[in-house]
Amino acid sequence: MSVNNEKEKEAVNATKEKKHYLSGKEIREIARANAKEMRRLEKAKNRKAHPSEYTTELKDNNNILEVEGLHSYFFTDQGVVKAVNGVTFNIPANSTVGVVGESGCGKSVTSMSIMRLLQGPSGQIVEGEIRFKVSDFKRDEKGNFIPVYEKDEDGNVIMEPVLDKNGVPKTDKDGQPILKGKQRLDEHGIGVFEQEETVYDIAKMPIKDMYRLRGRQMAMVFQEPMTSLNPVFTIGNQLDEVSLLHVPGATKEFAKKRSIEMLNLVGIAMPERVYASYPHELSGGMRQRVMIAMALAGEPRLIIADEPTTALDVTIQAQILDLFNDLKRKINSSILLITHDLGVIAEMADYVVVMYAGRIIEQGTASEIFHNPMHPYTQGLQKSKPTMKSSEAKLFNIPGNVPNPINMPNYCYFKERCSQCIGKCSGEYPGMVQVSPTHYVACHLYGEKED
Amino acid sequence: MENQEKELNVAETQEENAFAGYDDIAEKEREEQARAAQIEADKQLPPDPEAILEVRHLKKHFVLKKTLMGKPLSTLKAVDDVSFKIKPGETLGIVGESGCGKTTMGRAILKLHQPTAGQIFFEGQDIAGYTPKQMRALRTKMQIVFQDPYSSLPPRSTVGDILAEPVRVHNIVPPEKVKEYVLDIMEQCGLRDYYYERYPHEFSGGQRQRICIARALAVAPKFVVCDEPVSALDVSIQAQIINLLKKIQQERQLTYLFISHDLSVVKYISDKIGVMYLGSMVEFGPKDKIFDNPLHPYTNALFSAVPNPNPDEKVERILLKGDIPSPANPPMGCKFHTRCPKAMEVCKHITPEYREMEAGHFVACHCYSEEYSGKKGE
Repeated sequence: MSVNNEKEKEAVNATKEKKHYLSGKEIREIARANAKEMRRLEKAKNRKAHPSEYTTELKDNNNILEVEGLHSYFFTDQGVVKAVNGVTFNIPANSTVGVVGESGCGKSVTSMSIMRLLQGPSGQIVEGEIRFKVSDFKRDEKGNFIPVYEKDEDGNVIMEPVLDKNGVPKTDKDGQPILKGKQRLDEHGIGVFEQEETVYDIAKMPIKDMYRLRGRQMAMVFQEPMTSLNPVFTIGNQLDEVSLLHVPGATKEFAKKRSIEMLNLVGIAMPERVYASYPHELSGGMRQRVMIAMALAGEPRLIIADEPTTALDVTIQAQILDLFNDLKRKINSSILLITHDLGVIAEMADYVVVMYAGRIIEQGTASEIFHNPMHPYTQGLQKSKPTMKSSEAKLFNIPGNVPNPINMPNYCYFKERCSQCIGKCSGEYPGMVQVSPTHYVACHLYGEKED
Repeated sequence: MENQEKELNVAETQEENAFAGYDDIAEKEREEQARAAQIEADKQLPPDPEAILEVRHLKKHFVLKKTLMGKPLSTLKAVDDVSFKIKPGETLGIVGESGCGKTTMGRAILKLHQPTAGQIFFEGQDIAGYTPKQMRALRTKMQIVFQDPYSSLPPRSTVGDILAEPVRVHNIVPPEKVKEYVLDIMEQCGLRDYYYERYPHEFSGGQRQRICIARALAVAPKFVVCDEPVSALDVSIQAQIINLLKKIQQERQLTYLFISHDLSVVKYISDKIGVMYLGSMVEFGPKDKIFDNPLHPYTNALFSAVPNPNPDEKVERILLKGDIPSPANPPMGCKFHTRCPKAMEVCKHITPEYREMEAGHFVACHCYSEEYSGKKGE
């Protein structure tokens, strides 16, 4: 205890000496430097680019998403906030990856970067690669989708006449009917287009091309269902939009059918009634279900769930988590689950990523992280949460606060709150050390063997 | 799923015969009359001398709609007939889902909401009928820590001003000693002395909650209502605040009413626990008894819904269907019967009584009444 107290005192003295306020001149200087940088990044974001510019290869083909060396910064007048400062992790296909950390550690910014939803011009991806495997539509030279045609036994495309609005076959100048290939239809009566598997580097994609991926390839469940739904449109209206935008050739009838199907899938009892109601008529749990239905409507390969249960009660949380596990099995997608609740992660995740102050400090499989936590922060986080089974007299607590995101020190960010510091900790920021094939930790305590 | 429901329906029709031709409305009236008589009888009882706070049949109803003549048309029964006792130095934890009335109850006890009916004995005096002027003197004995430390501190006052104001208003110490006294309180709450001149916006959530706690303690109260004091904070900061609250309780022999929806936190800090559902207390008892042997189906479901921080241990969950019903229009009979996995036919018609199963362990459920639980077996 006394050791902790002294350490806290030291930390406080250190911040006391630091200046608390910036002068007007300093702020103007920072703003000018930022403006230049932001203009450059915004230009890159809004440019037109050919798909070949951002097509890459995955390092491991079993993954669906690979994030490497991601840096996302916020350019503020107080200085540059390095919200995500070099994050590297993978999401294997059909698995759940959980990201844990306290508020301000950059877990939400990571997910926003993957969706390219960072609020510009101040929020920008500065560096790094986000490789994502998609099944995009094939395009011809004009940029149109290529339909899949029905073929007869000889392999020839079946031709059918082109009809006008009234259902009368169109004719050319000579009076001959105009023919076109018969497009194959799926079980819903929607035309099928040719698709191909490609890998895109999302970080380099122009923002306009992102519209193709969002909704159909990756979808997000936002934290607050209260503020994420539009209050002036009905649930049906907002749900239909997903199918209408992301399924080529979708009709309104198809969209409605699909929306109601999705509402059924997420366990809403009276989907027709909910379809016609407005968000304020639903409870928090129902709204969160609608958000999930919306994310699932495009059958995405990756669902990003950003604190999906934080605003909900435990009984509703249990329902929603159960639903996520069910859906993962049903539609075969991967989930990136972001939360600060270690219990939720333990229940849901296959792999766990622990973040602190914009960096990953530990990552591994769920049982590695929970049974053998290596980093002092992970250990502290687990000990400081009272559980239903434990009954200690005093809770362990991590002293102090998360450091100020502007002017991060160049030594380990956790040093000032750490109870297991060694001399090396004042040196450089520790690199990732591999403990087992899947378990990595960024701490000097485990780095000695390699030296 | 459907087969299960069919089976249930068959079972229900057999039971239903017992309640065929049952007049719900007449029964409700009879029930209410009986309860009113019980309340009248309880009113005559003297307060328990051992308890610092005794709440009897506390009700807080909000009028949602009025007729032209000003008569209430529909009321929201936020707190409906809650009774309990707290002994000095104890912590009573109140758990329940959002909208179950736990915050309203905490505020009604401090008379921040005027209770609609019921008695609140604080140190042997019934304060339910006290005027605001009379309450003012009592404010030095009972205080509250609010949920959100970001909105419950005045942004234009320094920490020193915030903490000194109640001390000056209530004449806790002579005016020349106020600063010394405030600095002492700040030290006890883990705040540095140079924070005295700073404003709330300069602090993080955890530090702000420390300021809120220091403000509540500044008048040297005996009883503090903690209304979700840690739910807006990060996990590592939560532990700091919980430890602080426990330390101060030991030093000052404080009594807490600790309201939270986080069961593990409540388990850690409380001596006794009350479980609330839709404005009523469904189970009440000592911590060990509630956690080792939860009786009410809602308590059971609540406990099994807490995520287990062990990835290799998969627990069979009791999943509750649906949402908490609207408190403005609660279901007939037992309020929990719409979501209850053990619901019987009787639950739809008759409100269960609050009965003592073991010493100090109360539960309101028909499963434990000899009369009705026997019926289920037939």
